[in-house]
Amino acid sequence: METSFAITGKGYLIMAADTTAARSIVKMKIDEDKIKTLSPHLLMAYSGEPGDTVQFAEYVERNIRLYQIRNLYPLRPAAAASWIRRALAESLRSRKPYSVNLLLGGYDTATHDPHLYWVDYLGTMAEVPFAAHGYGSYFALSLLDRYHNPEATLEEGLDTLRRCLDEVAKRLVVSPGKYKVKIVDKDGVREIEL
Amino acid sequence: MTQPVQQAFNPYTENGGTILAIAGADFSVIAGDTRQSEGYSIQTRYAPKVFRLTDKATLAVNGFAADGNMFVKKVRQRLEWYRHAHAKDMPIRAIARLIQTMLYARRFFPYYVYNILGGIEEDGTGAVYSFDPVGSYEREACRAAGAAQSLVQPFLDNQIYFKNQTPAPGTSFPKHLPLFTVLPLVIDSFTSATERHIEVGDGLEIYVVLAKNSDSLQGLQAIGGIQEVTANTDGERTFVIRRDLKKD
Amino acid sequence: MAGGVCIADCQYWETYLGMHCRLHELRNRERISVSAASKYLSNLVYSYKGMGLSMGTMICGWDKTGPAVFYVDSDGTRLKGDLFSVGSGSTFAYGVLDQGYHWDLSDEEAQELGRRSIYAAGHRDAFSGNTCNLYHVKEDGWKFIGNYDISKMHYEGPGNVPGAPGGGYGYDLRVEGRSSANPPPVAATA
Repeated sequence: METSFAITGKGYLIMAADTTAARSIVKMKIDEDKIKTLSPHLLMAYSGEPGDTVQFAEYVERNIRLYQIRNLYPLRPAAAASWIRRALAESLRSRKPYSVNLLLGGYDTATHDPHLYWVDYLGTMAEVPFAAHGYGSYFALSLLDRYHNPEATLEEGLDTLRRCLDEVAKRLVVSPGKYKVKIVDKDGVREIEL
Repeated sequence: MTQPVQQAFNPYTENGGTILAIAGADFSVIAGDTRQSEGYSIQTRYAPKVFRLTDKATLAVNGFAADGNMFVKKVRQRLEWYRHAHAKDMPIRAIARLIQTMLYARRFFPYYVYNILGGIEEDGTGAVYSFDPVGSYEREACRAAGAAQSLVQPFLDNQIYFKNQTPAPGTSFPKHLPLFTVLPLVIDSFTSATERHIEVGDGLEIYVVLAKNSDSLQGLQAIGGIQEVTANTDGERTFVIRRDLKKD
Repeated sequence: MAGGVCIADCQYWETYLGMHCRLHELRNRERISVSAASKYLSNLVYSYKGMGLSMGTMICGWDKTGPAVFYVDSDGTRLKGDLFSVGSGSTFAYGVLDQGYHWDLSDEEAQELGRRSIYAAGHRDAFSGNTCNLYHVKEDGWKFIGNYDISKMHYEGPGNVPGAPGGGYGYDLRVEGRSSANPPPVAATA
C-alpha cells in the first residue's frame, strides 16, 4: 500500500514516500518518484487515485512555476499550501474531483524554519511537526508522538525516519519495498539514500 | 414508511435470429434467417437482416432490430454521400472502417447490434468483416453471429477452417472452398439452427457476391430459386437465394 | 503497441493515436517522441475517466533519447519503465519475463524471452492465447518478427527461429525422462 512520511527538525524537513506503482495485485514499477520538487525550497508527496495523482501534481507544479516566473520570487510554504488546498477544495465541489492526498513540506527562507502541511483529498489541511499518509500512518504516528524531537539534528531526524520505516516493514502485511527520501533545508532540496 | 423505489427504463431488447458470412477466393456469401421475435412471441416471419449496400458490399445486422434497421439506414446514407462526393462506390475495407467509427461514436449508448460485412475487396478477393456492438472489427474467412452463434460457429470452424481435423498423409486442407461446397454448408447451418434454436426459422436469405468475371457462377446453377439483384453483368454481381425454413 | 480488455476501446484509440502521430510528423517534420505519444494517449483517456473506458497499453519505440517503453492505462496511469506486461495473462507473463530478464539481452535472447512469456500467458490464462505476434523495435524502426501458434509452441516449439532452444515449451516435454522418485539403495544381493 502507498505510504508517505514527513518529519521536521532543526532547520530541515525530511520527506519519504514509497516507490511502488501497483495495479490490482501487480507491481508495475518499483522506482517511481512520488515526491515532486515544486520550487527550490518546497516538496510535495502525493498519493491516491491512479491517474489523478500525477495529473494533479503536474497541475500544481506548473502553477507554482508560473507564479515564480510572473513575480520573480517563489511562494512561501504557507501561501503555496493555501493555494494547493484551495485547488483541492474547489475540485471536490466539481463534477469530477481529484482524489489525491498530499504532504507539503517547505523551508521558509524568510523565517528560517521548516513547515509541514498534511492535506487530504477533501481539502482538509493541518500544519503539523510530523505527518504520514496511507496504512503506514497507523504505525508511524504513535511512534512519532513518542520519539519526534523538533530540535533533532539531521542525523537524529533520519534515525527517527528509519524507526518509522522499520516498524512499517515489521508490522504491515503489505509493506512497501523501497522508499525515496528527500530533504529540504536552507540549501534547498536534495535526495538521499537511506 | 415506504422504501425508496428505483425506476429504470430499458431502451434495449433482443430480437433473436442468426446471421453468417463466408468468404471464398473470389466470392462472398452473406446469409441470415428472417424470423423476428421477442421472448416467446414471433413478431414477424419476414424481417430481412441482410442488406445490399453497394455492388460489392452486403451487410448483415443482428441483435436489437430497431437499432439494426436504423444503423443500416445511416450506413446507406453515408455511402450515398460518398457516391455524390466521389462518383464511385466506397471500397469494402473503407466501409468496414466507416462502420467502426459509426459504432464507436455511440460508445456510451451503443447500437445493440452485431454486424457482419461481406463482399469483394478491391483486389477481387472475397472478404468478410465482423464487428462487435462498439466497433471492434476484424477481417476473417467466416463468421456467425446472433442467437445461434454458439451452434453455428463451431460447425463452421470445423468445416471451413478444418479445426480438429487432420489432413490425410501427404495432403493439405484448401485455404478457400468453392461456392458449390460453401452454399450447402450455409443451408445446413440454418436448417440445423432452426431445429435446435427457437429463435431461428421461418425463412432464409442468402446473398452471394461474385467478383468480376468470377467462374463461381457454375456453382449457382444447381441451386433453385436463385435471383440476380444486380443490373449489369460486367462488374461484381450479387445474387439472392430465398428458401423456407421450418416455422414451428 | 499492445492492447487488452475492451477490444474496441484499444482498437479505436490506438488507430486514433497512430493518426495523430502521423500528423505530428507532417506538421513538425519530425517523428513524435515516445514520451509525447504516450502522454497524448494518457491525457486522452484521462479526459474520459470514470466513463467506463477499459484499456491497458504499452507504447514502445526509439527516439532521440534511445529506446523507451511507456505503460498507459485507462485510469490515466502513465509509467516509464524497461519491462511491462499488460492484460489478463500479464501475471503469468511476468513470471517468465522477470526471471529471464537482464539489461544485456541479445536481440535473439530478447525475442525468445518475449515469445516464451506470451506462451506462458496463453497457456495458463483462459482469456489469452491462440497466436502470438512478435515485433522488435530498434534504432531504425520496428520490425515484425513473426506470428506463432501457442499450441504449436507447446508441442513443437516456435519452429526454426534464432534464440529458440528447439523443441516444445510444454512442461511435460521439458521434464521428459526425469523423475522425483528417491528409492533407498537396494542392498546388494549375493
